[in-house]
Amino acid sequence: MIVSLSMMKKFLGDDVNIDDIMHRLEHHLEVEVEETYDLVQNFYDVVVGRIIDKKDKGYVVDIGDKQILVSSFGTVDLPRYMQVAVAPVGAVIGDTTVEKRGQYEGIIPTLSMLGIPEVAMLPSEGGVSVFPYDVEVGTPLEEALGLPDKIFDIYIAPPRGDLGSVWGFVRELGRVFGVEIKIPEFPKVDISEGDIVSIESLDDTPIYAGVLIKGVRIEESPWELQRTLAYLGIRPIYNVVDITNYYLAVYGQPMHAFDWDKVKGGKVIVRRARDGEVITTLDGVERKLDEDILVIADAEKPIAIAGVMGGENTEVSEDTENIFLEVAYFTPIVVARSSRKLALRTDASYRFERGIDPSKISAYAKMAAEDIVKMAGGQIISFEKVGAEWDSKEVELNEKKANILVGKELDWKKEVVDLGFEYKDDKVIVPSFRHDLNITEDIVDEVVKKWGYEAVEEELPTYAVTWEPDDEVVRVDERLAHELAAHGLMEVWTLSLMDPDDVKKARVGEGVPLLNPVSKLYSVMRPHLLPSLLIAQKSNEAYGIEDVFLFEIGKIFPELKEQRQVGILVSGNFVLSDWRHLSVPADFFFLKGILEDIFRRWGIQAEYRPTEKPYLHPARAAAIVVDGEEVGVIGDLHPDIVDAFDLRKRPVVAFIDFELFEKYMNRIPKAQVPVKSPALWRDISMIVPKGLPMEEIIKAIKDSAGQYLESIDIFDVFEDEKKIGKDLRSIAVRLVFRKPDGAIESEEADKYMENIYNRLESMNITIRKGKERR
Amino acid sequence: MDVRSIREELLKSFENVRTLEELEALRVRFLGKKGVIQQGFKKLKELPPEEKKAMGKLLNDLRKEVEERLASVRERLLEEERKQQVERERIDVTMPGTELAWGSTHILRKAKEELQYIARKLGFTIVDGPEVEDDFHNFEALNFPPYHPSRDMQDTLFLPGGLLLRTHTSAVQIRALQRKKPPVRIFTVGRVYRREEVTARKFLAFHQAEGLWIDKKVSIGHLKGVLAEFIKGFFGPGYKLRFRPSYFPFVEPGMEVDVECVFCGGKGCKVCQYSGWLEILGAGMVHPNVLRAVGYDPEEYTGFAFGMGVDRMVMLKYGINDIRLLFDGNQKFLRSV
Repeated sequence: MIVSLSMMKKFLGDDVNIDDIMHRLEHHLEVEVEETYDLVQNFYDVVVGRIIDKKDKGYVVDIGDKQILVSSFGTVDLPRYMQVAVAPVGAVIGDTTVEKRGQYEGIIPTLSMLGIPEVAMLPSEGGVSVFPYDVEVGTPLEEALGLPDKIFDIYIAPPRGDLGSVWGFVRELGRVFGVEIKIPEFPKVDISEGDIVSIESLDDTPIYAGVLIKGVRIEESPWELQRTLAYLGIRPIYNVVDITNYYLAVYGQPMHAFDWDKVKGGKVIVRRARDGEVITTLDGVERKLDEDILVIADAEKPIAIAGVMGGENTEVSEDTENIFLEVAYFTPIVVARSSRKLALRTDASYRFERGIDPSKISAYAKMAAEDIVKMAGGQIISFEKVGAEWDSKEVELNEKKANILVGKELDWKKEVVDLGFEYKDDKVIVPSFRHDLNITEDIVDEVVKKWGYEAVEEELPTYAVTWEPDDEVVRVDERLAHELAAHGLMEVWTLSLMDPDDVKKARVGEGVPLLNPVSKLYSVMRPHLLPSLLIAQKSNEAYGIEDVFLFEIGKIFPELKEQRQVGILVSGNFVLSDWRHLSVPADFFFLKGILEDIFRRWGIQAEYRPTEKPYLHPARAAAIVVDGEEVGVIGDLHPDIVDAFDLRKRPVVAFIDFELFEKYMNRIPKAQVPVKSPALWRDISMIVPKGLPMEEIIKAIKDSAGQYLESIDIFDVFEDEKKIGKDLRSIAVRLVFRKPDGAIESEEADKYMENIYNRLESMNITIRKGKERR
Repeated sequence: MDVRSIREELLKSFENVRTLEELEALRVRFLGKKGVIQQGFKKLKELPPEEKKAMGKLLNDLRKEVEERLASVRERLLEEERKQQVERERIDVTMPGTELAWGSTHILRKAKEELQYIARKLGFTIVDGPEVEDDFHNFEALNFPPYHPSRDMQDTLFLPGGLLLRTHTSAVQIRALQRKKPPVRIFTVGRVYRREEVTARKFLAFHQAEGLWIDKKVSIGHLKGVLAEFIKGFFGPGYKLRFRPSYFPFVEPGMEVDVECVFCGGKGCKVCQYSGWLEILGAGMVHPNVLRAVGYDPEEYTGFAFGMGVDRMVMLKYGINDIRLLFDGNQKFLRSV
């Protein structure tokens, strides 16, 4: 809400210290002063002048005591007889004194030169402040602008609709801070005459006042009203609309004026719209209506959306002579529903949906109608009111509950009276405009706000601390992240919304689209972590970082089934920088090594089977299989995708179901206790068919090596068609034998080796030689 | 045999020894089986008995002297050699260390763990909830009635099937309350979404931490007390707290909590925009409508909830000026914090 100090002062006693109140405001009310604009005089001898001619690229301006030629520099083409601010030679603006430039004896300063903030919606032309003729030529500008003044931009929490007007705001300052206020005189209206209004939807429209005024002249408002509205953040338009806007801003009462001559059948009907009815609203948009929406209609058709916006078909224009002024109380829910269904928000709907004052509908109608007659002429023909206003409502106060909340027993009658409310039989009588007060907690809130929260003493609870299983998932997530990080991977928390093109390019299906995305870049939920990690790699490459080691434990949403996924991407060299030429290329086996170690620590036995995935290199991809079930994949990124993302380095990626780790959370790996007895090494060098997976060779060795084989270490693999032969590879392994309770004899090892050789040879493997070492 | 001249030659030779090899050669020459001294002993028997004894003593003394000399020269040479070795192995310690791709958890995880640690210590259970929510858990049960203007406080991203991306971690409250029985003390940290134009300060996603306690006789004083402990845990002791009235549909009374600026001690600085306070928490007493929505009797139970923006705290703490960095994979940034 925008409020001006000058307007507030109309309701405040003279010696109020507004700055002090504004400082204390947010400690006692659910409002915040978001911005304060000081309207100060930073100029001297600037006056209101009237352009009477144009000459030599300048304007001849009447400034009261004389006519001067001013430069048109910095202005748009201003028409003759327009009244503007003029700074003649000798005037001061900011630190600058206006000097004679050639034949020009002054300038026309813009509002921004004069230091007037944009929030003040003063009438202007190309940035130049414009004044109506009721401002006399020669008037000092500071007088015309009413300086000094202040404009406050105040945030008001949604339930406090009662604070959303100058009067409502000041009224609360009076109650909460004990500030002296001048209560306006609200006229009493008891008579209702006329038969224009017919309310068909009474539940939506508890109170409705309509005033028929005939013979008005639509024209510009007097300067004082224009300036008042401008400092309330409202752009002045013409008298009738300005007056309705004035009541909206100053009293929080929305009003609407219809051009009576365009209302068909001399009837104003408040009813729900019929399905399929349409209306073109004042913003020029045609809107389809339905039965949830409350409308004002004439005998034939809707002429306004109740509480939201008027219709073009009955719009007041310069030619309007007779108007029908509507001042009503529509229920918050009906206006909120209309407004949201039509996606149409207005100052009026904002007020209605937060709740306006149900006690002053006819008073405001009378005040506004009289102001219209005063300003635009004409005559009040009829004043009709349907429904009855109410001044107060009752809120039940459960004292026991209230005592629990404040932590002590209070004399609630005294507290309630201190708030300025009445207390009768456990019931608090509050003004009807306090739509936010409905239950015990609301009254407690009101009391504590008045005290200020510092008045409530801190208290430390005592309670039994029990263990609950909910922590588990969080613990799996934490432990896994720390282990991945310990293996040299950097965690990322990327956005789960993405560009559908990136999802498609990464060949991981399609993301579920948002219904109302902000932009295409963030319009689908990712079905997989791959595109996120590729974007992260690309962002690093763009930054000149080609050695990328990332992981994420993130949410993915394939077909909206929310789940966690573990994703890893490595590329480049694990040694980022070393002047001794150390190098550890991040290839398939590098990443596999990380996975193997992490699985070992969780007690997970995983196997790797060649696999094909649309996003993985067909010849360098493996499914990770645990207990016969595929729980993840590892592989080089498919070359097509490397190209599609225009990556400089081809990464290796791995993805694992998070659930796997949850399943194994409490699995305890078997501890390997170092044995002190001496070990015995045997090396085997063999020629094997190329298609034979290493895993089978190792399994064969293990199966035939007896019980004392401790480890198998592959230390050399090479292929050379000339030296070894086609489709063959040479593999050298070292076997370590160890007995737990003493040295293993060479002869015993020979026996095992013989078994191993036989077994390997049965697999079409040629043993080249065996080495032996103790 | 002139032992005296041998001795002189010997002493002279020792002076010229430069290396352990030369020393060994000397040892062989004097003490070896065919060495000068052995030769002397061999020749003893050729001497007349009266000379034998004297010569024997001379040779023995000489051998002793040679052995002593050998030992001392060896020690000197070893010392020199070690010195040379050390010199050969001298490195420029100012050369940079090897830079591997050292891993790390994310800065938001670090903050999350810190918050969870404090919450656990204060007796709260860590819970988790889905990011894809329905209207009931994200809005209705939290006392945001349909069409109510309070819904405008949080611009929502909608999904097909009547689902949406949760706009706050308060949705986790509802799920936890449905699952559990009072007393309930839970804490959650998670990602939330808002429909925002992307800027350095606002992003489509951010992270919230939220605590909730439902029990018999929970008071505003308890809320203040527990929050004060929480803040002590996060920022350290000695910072003042300030409570201001505010509005969130799911609490009444509702408040915002400011902590004395931890960067300037409340004197006013750029971080706190010269106010001396950091606005960090929203809190309040759980609204009876929320309790009713999950089947708790508001006559029997009360409770408090509090929540904070994790990203904002992290950004303040590390001087990060763009929230998007937290979602980016830039390793330069990630390794710096």
